[in-house]
Amino acid sequence: MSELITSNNLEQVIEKNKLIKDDMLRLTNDFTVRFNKSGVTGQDKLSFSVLKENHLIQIPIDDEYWGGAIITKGNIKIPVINTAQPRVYQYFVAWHEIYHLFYDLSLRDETHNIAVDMDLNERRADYFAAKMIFGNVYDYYYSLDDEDFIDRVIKCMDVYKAPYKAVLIELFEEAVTKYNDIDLKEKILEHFDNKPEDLVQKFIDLELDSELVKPSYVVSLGGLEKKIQSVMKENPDVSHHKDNYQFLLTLKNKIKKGVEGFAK
Amino acid sequence: MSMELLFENRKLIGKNILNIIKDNGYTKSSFSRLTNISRPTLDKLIKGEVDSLATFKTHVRKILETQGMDEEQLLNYVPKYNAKKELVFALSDNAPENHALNPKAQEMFGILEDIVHMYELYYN
Repeated sequence: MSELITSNNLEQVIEKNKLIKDDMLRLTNDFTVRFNKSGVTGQDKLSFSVLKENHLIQIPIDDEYWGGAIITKGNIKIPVINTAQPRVYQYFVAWHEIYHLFYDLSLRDETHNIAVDMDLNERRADYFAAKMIFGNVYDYYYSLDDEDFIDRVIKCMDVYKAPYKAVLIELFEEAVTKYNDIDLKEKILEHFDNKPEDLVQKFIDLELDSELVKPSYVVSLGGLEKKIQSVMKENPDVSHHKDNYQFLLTLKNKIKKGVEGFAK
Repeated sequence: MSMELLFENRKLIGKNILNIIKDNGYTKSSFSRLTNISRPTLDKLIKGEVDSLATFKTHVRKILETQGMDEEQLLNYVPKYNAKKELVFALSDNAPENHALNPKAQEMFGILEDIVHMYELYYN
């Protein structure tokens, strides 16, 4: 479980980030070299395309806190994203899960029982996600003409496709560790715990695409359907593959009915 | 070996039934259809929660018949799968400690568990 970051522990979070910064920058470079051979440029597209290669399950779960998971069973690791959360969270969670999928020592085969500081492990995953998403958000923030602090933050959310708090943490880190920008630091602390209530309307008012702050409700079972179909073709006499396939379709229908419930 | 002995060890029998399901590539649902045991009853059998000897006998006989096993083989069943393959989660979850999942979310997690079980069957 990630620690809940508030204005009270924001400075400690930045201190923790200092400890892991070099490691995480190394991993972001490693990721780009190893996993982005096709040169995908949109960070949102890149994270999802890599997760899909690893049989990503996309499922809408009616819970505001549960963003996703890597479920490991034996030798398999299955990434899961909750598509009932706004897309902007999904993009962040996708990078967070990529850290767990490829770099999390506690989930390595045969070693997932080793003692790992889970709080720091989650901070690593969040920091990895932030470093994959953000370019120079501090400069971008100051390039905006808007006087209103929240409007500027929302425009940063739009450009980097990042959640409200993630933008503020990144700005805070730059303000504190690089520029000694006391004014921005205080503004962030003042607004950190008061995320705007109606982000959709805020996006519309600023003439931005509000789809970013809405759920996508995508349902995807990561290629399992095709996999079972191909096994059925190879083994036409084995009846339980057909049973399993029918069962999978039943599950998919149940999920889709759940989605209809969300829309009402 | 008597069915009464199996009934006395019904928790162990439940575990063995679950191992038979996993080892042979069934889901609980497909196994329920195969044996003609309803899904809720199968769940109770697996948890060792069937308290009526008559009901227990009826359903265990169905399982023995479809699996071509006798009572002794069921009681002493050795799983083929690696017992270490427990589910491990790396979660993105900021829920406060007292947060409870709503029934819709619980249902969706149940579905997710079934899907993950199928992943285990087809990708391991």
